[in-house]
Amino acid sequence: MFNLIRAELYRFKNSGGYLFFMILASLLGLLTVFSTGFDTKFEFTIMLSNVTQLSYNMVLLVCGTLLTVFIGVSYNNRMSYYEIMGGNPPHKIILAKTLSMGFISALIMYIPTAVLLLASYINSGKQTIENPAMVFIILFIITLHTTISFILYAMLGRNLVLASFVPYIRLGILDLIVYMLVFQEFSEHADNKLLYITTNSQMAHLLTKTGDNKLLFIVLISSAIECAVLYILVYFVYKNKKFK
Amino acid sequence: MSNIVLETKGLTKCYGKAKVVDNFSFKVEKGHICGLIGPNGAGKTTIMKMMAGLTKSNGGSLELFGTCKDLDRNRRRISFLIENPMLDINMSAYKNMEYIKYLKGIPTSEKIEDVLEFVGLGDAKDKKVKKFSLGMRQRLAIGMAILSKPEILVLDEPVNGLDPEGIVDVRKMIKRLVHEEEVTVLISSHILSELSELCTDYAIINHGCLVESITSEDLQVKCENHITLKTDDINRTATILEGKLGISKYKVFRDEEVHIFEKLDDVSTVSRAITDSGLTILKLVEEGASLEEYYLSKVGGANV
Repeated sequence: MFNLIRAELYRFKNSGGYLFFMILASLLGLLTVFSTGFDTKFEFTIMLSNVTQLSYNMVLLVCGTLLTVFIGVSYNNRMSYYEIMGGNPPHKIILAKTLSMGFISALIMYIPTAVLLLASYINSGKQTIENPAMVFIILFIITLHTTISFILYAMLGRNLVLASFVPYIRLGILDLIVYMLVFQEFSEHADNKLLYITTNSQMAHLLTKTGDNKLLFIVLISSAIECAVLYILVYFVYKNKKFK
Repeated sequence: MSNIVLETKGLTKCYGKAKVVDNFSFKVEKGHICGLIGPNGAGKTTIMKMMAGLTKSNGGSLELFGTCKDLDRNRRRISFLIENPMLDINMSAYKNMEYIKYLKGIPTSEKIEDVLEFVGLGDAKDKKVKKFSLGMRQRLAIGMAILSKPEILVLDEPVNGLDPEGIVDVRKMIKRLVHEEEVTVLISSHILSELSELCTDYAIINHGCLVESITSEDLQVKCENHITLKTDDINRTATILEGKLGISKYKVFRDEEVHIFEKLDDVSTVSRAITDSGLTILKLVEEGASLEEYYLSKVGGANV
């Protein structure tokens, strides 16, 4: 699996500047927030609920599109087939792709929001959250969950066109449906949020409204559910060898 | 120990109701160059995709290196070039090779330069693949296939779209590989003449079925002008040919008929000698065909 990870990261770094543009988009997201004269002395919780929704989701959308397009292209030019023809079992291929690309992408997408939150945490004197470190951890898990699900959705589509719509479908349509279905109820009843946080683009609300440990549990469970379902679907695609 | 490194037994593949590969069985021996020949749509690529693990068969079995177990593990000893070259056009030739190096776990980069030289891309190694011609892409794909020193090389129409010079180059490249690296090659084409100077064995396929599996030697014999003689006792016939007529250039096929490559202008003498010995002639005819004609007779000219 080490070879698969190395090869995948090598191509991600060297092909078409995907990695470069992803880092650029991420940094631009950060700069955009600062260039609007944003005051980092805001309360940590306000930062969470307002800033992250805008910058975090935009970065997620742009970087996510770059990520899924990269994966879609590798099916179109059939570079991904080398992994199969090289005798690698499906679970190794899926794990290598999701872990390597998912982790690197999550790290890149996480940076702007993490920096903003850190600035707020340092500058604001008034803290309303008991364990701020947990917020950073939860935020990274959610970002990692998002990138891994992007990758798995793109692997499920195995096509550039389908792959390029993944972030919009995942963050836009799916989130919107879930938001409309459960958000009102969620606001009233904090317990009913598993489905909501599964798509989690507005997770900042949750971070401010619930206990850290409980939220961490929910985030882990919901991430595991979506990723496991997608993993099984992609596994069967690879197992049944449905390649053009 | 068996010399068979690649074998299919009753391999079958259906797409919906259409049977693309139908009960296909054949073997490839170590060190041989086997040509898989058939018209477009005969099922050549599907067979190779099943070998590569890109498509699942609906029946039959595939054996690699004498076993149908651990196919994935054994695929690591094989390199495939299926259909068009699989290349990342946004990377240079060298970086495409380096990607394969990482994927196959090749420890050093030294061999990359050698392979690029071998396939004639030494000067274009830093050029992006999107600027490559089809011929250069094909060469690079072959280079990527041989980088890991595979024991078997599976090439699906590697000369497709190449100019005559390119075809000769690829042919030379494959010959060198077989002689220098002792690679076994399975190569497909829909044009027999492309493979006629290369292959040691042929498997002719049409409509997903194996039409004939034949060695290059036997194919040459079958295509050479000869007298086909069929009698009620083939062993005695052979004795008569050697003893009475002094014919040494002949070959017995399937214990049924003899192909005689001498005395083509003296069929009556052959006929008289056989009948005088008390044997009954069941068939006596002068035959011969070009490789192309032979192939067309097998697959049906209209399909090509």
